[in-house]
Amino acid sequence: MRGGGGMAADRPGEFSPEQVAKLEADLAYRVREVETLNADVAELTAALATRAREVETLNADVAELTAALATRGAEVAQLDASVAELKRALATRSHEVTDLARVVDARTRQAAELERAIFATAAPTAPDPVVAPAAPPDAATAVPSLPSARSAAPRLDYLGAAWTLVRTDFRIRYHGTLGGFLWALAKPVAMIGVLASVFSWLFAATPDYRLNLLVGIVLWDFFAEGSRTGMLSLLAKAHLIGKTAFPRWLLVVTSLATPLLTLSVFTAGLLAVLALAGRLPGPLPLAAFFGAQLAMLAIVLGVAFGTSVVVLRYRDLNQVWDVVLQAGFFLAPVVYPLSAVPEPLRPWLMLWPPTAVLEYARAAAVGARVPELAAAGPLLVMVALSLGLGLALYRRHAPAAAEYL
Amino acid sequence: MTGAAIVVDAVSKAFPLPEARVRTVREAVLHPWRSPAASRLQVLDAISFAVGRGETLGIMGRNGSGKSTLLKLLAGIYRPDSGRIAVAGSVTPILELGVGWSQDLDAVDNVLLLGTLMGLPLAEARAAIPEILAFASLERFARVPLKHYSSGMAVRLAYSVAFRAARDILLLDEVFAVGDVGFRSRCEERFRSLRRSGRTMIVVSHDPRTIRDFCDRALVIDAGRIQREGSPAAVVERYLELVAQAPLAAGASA
Repeated sequence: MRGGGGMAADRPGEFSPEQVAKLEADLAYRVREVETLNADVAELTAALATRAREVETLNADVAELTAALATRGAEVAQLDASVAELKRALATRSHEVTDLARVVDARTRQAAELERAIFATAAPTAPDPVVAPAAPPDAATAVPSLPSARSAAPRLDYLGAAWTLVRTDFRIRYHGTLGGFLWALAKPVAMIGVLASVFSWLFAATPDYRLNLLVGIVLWDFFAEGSRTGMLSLLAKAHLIGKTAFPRWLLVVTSLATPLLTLSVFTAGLLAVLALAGRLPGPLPLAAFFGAQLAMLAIVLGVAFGTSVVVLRYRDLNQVWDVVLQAGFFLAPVVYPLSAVPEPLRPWLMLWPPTAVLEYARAAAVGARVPELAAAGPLLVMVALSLGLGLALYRRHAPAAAEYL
Repeated sequence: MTGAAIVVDAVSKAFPLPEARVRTVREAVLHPWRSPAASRLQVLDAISFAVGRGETLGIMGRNGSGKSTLLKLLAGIYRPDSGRIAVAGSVTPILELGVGWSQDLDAVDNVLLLGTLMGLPLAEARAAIPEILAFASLERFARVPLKHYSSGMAVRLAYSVAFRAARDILLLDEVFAVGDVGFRSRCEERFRSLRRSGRTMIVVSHDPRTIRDFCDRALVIDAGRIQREGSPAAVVERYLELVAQAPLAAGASA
């Protein structure tokens, strides 16, 4: 308006050229300004769009992170739960460990006590009992070249072993008492009493019948008892045979100890009776009498050796033998004099081993004379037969004894 | 370790089956020409091995495989049917758990009896009685007849005697399977000291631990033959295989 008033001053209703130029310059300037502003706006709008996109991306990230956070939270809760569980388990285990430690302590103490006890008991008797029976130096030189299972057997204290066998036999049979042994003597004594009273009436005419009966029964009793126990000697000690290797003959020989003891006691009694009757034989007949006893021992040994191995195979042999003994008691002239038998039968009776022994012993002890050489013949034949046959059987079958037990 | 203590060379052993083993006079008289049945069981079939001086050999095998027969052959209780066994020194066997006692005798008498038969001089056996009873923890029962003993007590006494009587070579059948913990540890201790002293030993056992812990070498027998010989570990392995296999009857034909 102000410009209009100026123009009005120069030329009413018209602008001067200077005014127009000035206005045009002004207008151009303004247009440039507007252009600049428009450019700015465009620029800002573009920046705004970019930012908006960024915000969107960030928002997405935030959502994602939130989700992840939730997952992790659940995991943490789970871990917390397992930690609690493990803690509980740990507590239990530590209790168990303490208990076990206590048990271990107790066991260790027991072990120590045992050890002390062992040393206390082992030490005083022998410092090192194990090394004492050392290997003999000569055995260390070479591998033996002989096939000898026998060499496996330990070297024995034969006497000690035999004595132990005899002593324990006696202990088992008579309960280790003298009373028990005396009771065992009662049976033959009673038999002598009965037979003496019955048969001495029958054989009243026979001289010295009672003394002959006494000699007969004493020897017969030894034969019967000795052969019975000898036959069963291996069978009765089966538990020892299967346990260790030692000469089995020890068992056979020592089994005759108790019958021998009985024989000795009766022989002493017999000699006492003879002495009381004033009929004790002289030294030579007496020696002959003991010779007869020795022969009987040899015969019994033969029977014992032979039958001890056979009975392992034929287990009823001892019953058979009992029958044989029953008959043999009357086959041998125990209760009757041989002179009571008809002459032609006598040689047959001599085939029964005890017969010859009885006749020989009677001639010596009661007849008080050394029997003629001819009388010793059958005796020696019987001894040779019995020992020979018995030992042959034994040598053949004894090595396999353990297999038949 | 100089030379061998035991040499077993192609040893075979067969037994007549029980029904053919024992006859009666009655049968023999009634059927004189009937020979005892010929059925025999081949227990060992040409077995060969050797044991060095001072060595401890373990023997494994299933029940009925021939282990005990082998020990009895080595001890001289049985004779081989064929082959030969050479032994340098005297053998102390510890066999058949618990048997070997006279049931009516007390511990002292039994110890004297078995001790002297195993080779102890009588005087030495007498002197050793307290020690033997102590080892078996049976001092209180010294005068009790063996028939009143429990099987465990009887077995303890047996080992006690044999360990004391031990000579050059010791044969042990299932030694560590007996007794309570205390007795077993005493046995193991005695065993170790015997081993240290240079004794030759043969140990029969079903227990892999015994074979592994106590033996220098081992072998396993089955169906009368040696199935494997060598290190204890290898033998134990073979034994366990055998045990896992078919029963013995099936393997016997092999």
